[in-house]
Amino acid sequence: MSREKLTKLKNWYAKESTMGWVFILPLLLYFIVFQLAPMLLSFGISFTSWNLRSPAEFVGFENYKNLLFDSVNYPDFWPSLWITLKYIVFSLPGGIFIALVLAAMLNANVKGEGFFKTAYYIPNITAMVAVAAMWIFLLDPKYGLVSQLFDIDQSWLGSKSTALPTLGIMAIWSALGYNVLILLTTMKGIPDELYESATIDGANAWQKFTKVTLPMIQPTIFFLIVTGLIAAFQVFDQMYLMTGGGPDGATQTYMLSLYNHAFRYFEMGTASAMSYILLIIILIITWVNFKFIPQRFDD
Amino acid sequence: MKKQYLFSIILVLVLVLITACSSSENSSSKSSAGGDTKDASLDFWVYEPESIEGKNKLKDLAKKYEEETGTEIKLTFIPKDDFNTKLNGTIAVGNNPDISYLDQPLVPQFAKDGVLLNVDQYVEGENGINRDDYFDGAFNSVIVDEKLYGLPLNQSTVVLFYNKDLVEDPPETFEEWIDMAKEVYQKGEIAAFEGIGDGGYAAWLYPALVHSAGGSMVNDDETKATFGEGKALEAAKLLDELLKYSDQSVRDTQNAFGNGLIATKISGAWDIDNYKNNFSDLDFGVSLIPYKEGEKSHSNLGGDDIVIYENTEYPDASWDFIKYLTNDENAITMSEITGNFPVNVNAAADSRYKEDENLSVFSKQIETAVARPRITEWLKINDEVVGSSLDKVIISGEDPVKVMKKAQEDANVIMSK
Repeated sequence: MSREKLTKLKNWYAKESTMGWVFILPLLLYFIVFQLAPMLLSFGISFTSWNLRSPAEFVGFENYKNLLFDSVNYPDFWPSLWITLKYIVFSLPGGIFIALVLAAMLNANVKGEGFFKTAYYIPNITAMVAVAAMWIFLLDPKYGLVSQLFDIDQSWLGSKSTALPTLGIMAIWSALGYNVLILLTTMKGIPDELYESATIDGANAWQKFTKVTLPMIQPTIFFLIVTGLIAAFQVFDQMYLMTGGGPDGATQTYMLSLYNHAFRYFEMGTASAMSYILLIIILIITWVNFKFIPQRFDD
Repeated sequence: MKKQYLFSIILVLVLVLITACSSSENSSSKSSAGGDTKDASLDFWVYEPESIEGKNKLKDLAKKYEEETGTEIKLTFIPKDDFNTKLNGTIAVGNNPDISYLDQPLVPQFAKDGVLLNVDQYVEGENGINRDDYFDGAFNSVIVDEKLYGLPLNQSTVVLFYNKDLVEDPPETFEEWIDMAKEVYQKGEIAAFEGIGDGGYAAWLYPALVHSAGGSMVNDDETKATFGEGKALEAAKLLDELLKYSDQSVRDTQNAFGNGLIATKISGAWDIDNYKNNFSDLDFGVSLIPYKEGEKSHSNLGGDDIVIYENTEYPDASWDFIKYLTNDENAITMSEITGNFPVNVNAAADSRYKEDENLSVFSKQIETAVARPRITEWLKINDEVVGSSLDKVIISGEDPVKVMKKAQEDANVIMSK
């Protein structure tokens, strides 16, 4: 190799952007092979009838049409969407609100902040299977802690009216640590001067919270709402592990129904179509979020 | 700067290694072309046995066969929950095993998709089998459109379990069962009947009651659903009536039957060991599924088959091996490994199935057990129509007759597609 060429190569190599690409290459490859390619493929599959065993057959918009209008062959579609929405109502606003209260309390320089942060975060890093096993134990209708506490024999996961709210509460509990941590970190980042000047203006603690803290953490709350909504639309493991969609379909969420189509009935086309319908729903809702929920404090 | 060099060199090396490994794997598989020789090599996929002894027994069986014939058997253990997903995935890319277990209701689908080897040619031949060695119900589960697509591997059925401390004599008829329920029921404390689970599982148990009521799930040529008409409706009414004396809070308590809170339940042979090993205080017995007066006790039939894939390089060796697994001697071992009953009549005549007070009831029940309809869409009808309708009766307390009639109409729409 000539010296000139070598310098050229060296220069190319030394460029920051080159190094940047090298560093993200593993993730980029992973993303393309395991995420982007399957996504594009499943878009194609959503227009076919395919059970993995016989060749895929192009059916146009048939899968989409059947899901939306054929309630005999696809009885789960609309109910599962509705149940997912209900689940979001049970789990998301309450979850963020409780996290906000806890974060504000921890932010008041309480003793043992580190302990509480860790304690709240543990559910978040515990495997869902373990969490589910523990909750099944707690929720036992006769001998479970919850029934004993309220002194009633209630099948929390077995009766239609309580199953979904119970799973919602469980979700709040397991996401709490993450939400608290994110909110608390943002609260810690608020400059002290703001509170000082509020004090000089004669603001009390409540006013400081509503006029200084809340506006300053609004972007974070927005972030939690958007990501929380997207995650809640895709809720799956709890239902799969704890109720299997029952009782009487009360916890049959959208993703669970999608899973059944894909891996129980092997209707890959239908399942792919469902995932694209969900994508569209999530896109619309996220757009609405960006449009109507305040992302930052503007005077 | 130096560090960066080092890092990217390592990175590139790793990437090269990864790609090299994966491509070499591809080229080595299935490269040994050739006919059906003594050095055939068979990929055999099985459910991961629940115990290590089961696993070893299976390995021993394979090893013995290898020594006798020189054919290599490559066993792959896969947890039952993942089995069908993994299997379908490999079929999609043509990388499937030569032989595998297959759940009975999947056989018609796989056969119609042309992935299974039709083994009719072997049955009559020199290395054939005697059709009468196998139980009818189990054998029928591998027949699709009058063609044979493998051999039955094991079979299971369900019977009535009863708590001897609560029930002296097990009910024989629906009427006795309801009388028993009224007697034994204590609000919030004792439930007369455990129920039949929910969703797809409920729909799997339910046919036992339908057939014992004198009804059927589908008509004889399996073209129309019949579980929502005539005598079949007695099963739904029975269920509805029994559950009046069975509080949900008691039924949903964990291990309620094991802890003596429930008088009767329907379950399979797997629960015998469960209750014997884990609930020493429980005094339980098993008996035949009760029937509607004037009818006969029936139960459902489940189990697995063993199938050969159409793209195998060694069809003759594959046939020889599945025949070996289901012969008089090995059928017992195979049913032990899977926790079910042998499909082979001679094996089932073994004293262990005839003399044991519990297993003998199962053996008797199997004689009148009815297999699932062999309809491609059955799994879906089972879950989404029968299962969800039973949920409406069991959980939401809707009128059983109305719900099951509507379910039959829906099932017929799906079947007429």
